[in-house]
Amino acid sequence: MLFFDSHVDAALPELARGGMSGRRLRRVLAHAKACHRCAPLYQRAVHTLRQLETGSPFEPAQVELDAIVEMNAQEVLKKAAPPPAPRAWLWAPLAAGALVAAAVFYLPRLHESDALEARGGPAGLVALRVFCGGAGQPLKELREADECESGRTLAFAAGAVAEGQSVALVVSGDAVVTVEVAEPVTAPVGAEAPVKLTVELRRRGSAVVTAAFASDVEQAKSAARGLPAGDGVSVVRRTVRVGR
Amino acid sequence: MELENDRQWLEGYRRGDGRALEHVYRHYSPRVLRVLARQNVGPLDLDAAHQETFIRAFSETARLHFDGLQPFERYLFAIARRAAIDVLRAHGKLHHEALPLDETAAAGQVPSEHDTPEQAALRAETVATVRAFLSTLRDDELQFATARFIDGLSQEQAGARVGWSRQNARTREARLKVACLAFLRERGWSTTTAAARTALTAAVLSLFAAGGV
Ligand SMILES: [Zn+2]
Repeated sequence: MLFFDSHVDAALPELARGGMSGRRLRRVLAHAKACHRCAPLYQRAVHTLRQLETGSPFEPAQVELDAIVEMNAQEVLKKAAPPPAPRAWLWAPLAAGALVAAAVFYLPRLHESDALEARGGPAGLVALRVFCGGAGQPLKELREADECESGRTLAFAAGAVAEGQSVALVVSGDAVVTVEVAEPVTAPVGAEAPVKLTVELRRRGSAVVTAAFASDVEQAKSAARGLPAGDGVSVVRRTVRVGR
Repeated sequence: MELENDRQWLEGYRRGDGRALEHVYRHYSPRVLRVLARQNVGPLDLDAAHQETFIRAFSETARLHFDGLQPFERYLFAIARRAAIDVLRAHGKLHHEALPLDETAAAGQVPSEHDTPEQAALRAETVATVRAFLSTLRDDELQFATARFIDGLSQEQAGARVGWSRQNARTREARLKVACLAFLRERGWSTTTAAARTALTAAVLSLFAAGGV
């Protein structure tokens, strides 16, 4: 697997010297976010570097300022550009049962994995997309702060860079009856495929969606249930606010 | 020059003009990153919170909502604080009261006496790491590193203390930083993080409070 090949250790001298490119930091962060060994190492290294440079672990180091501004520029400015023609989800309202089948055909394809980082996955390695549909309303993709109304239905799509991954999905919270599903991931990041699960939103509150990706389905299931995850397991969590 | 003082730039921002937005992005990004880092957004979430801040600030609603009278910086920092909360929540990292939400906290550096217990623990631990690293140094390197990293002298001043030229001080400082992170790695930091320890302590305390132990 691409990002799992090199642990964060190798990047520490570059981090300390400064001048790391946005592209390089993106890869380092992608690894650190997905690797249980490297996540704390990266955080400590950055805190220590900040302490050396600025006298505080809460003041970003110069290398962070430069590289993050560079790595996010394209994504932010692209999103800010006037939107192209309306996308595929502006079609007829769907019954909850038809949602998954419909999503198979109409899921908008995102080809830049960059665009998926905002969706909460360990940058670019895995992707989870959450959709709100049903109840006579068009299906729409939920971004981080978006709401879906009670009475409507959640649908999901998943993708992974690595082949042979399984995804386990647990949806819980006061707005839903807890459900679990596990299945093989059939699509790469950038062309996510629907997960065979829809969840009815029964009342207002919130629904917490936890998706765990791993090559071993049992590992994915236990990580999705919140048990400690081993190396190579990526967990994405999204909270959906349920209104009205 | 700030956005609210430049008519043309301001109008470009309101219209969503690409060049005006890019200028806003480059001009305000470092300040936004500093605000986020002071607001308990950790190194692993900083990029996501930064991105979310600007995506929101560049939305049509946010652009048209800015009155052009108040400092844009204040407007942007308010967006950043909300974006930080949402990103941390989405990543399952928001512990209650973890974020100072008052306006003043974002305006300047949060003084150390206002650290949350987690921040205070992290600050102490980071300083301890640096001191442990210094204890491995000798002679002029130790003197230089103490002056620079503990006493907070400038690179030039710290170099002058041990008779290093500017160039030499720069090279040696770069090497010390690399060595410090190597030291950190070799010490084996797979142990519990400060934040995890604090959370554990809080959980145990709540057990006591509930009479469960
Ligand atoms: Zn690793």
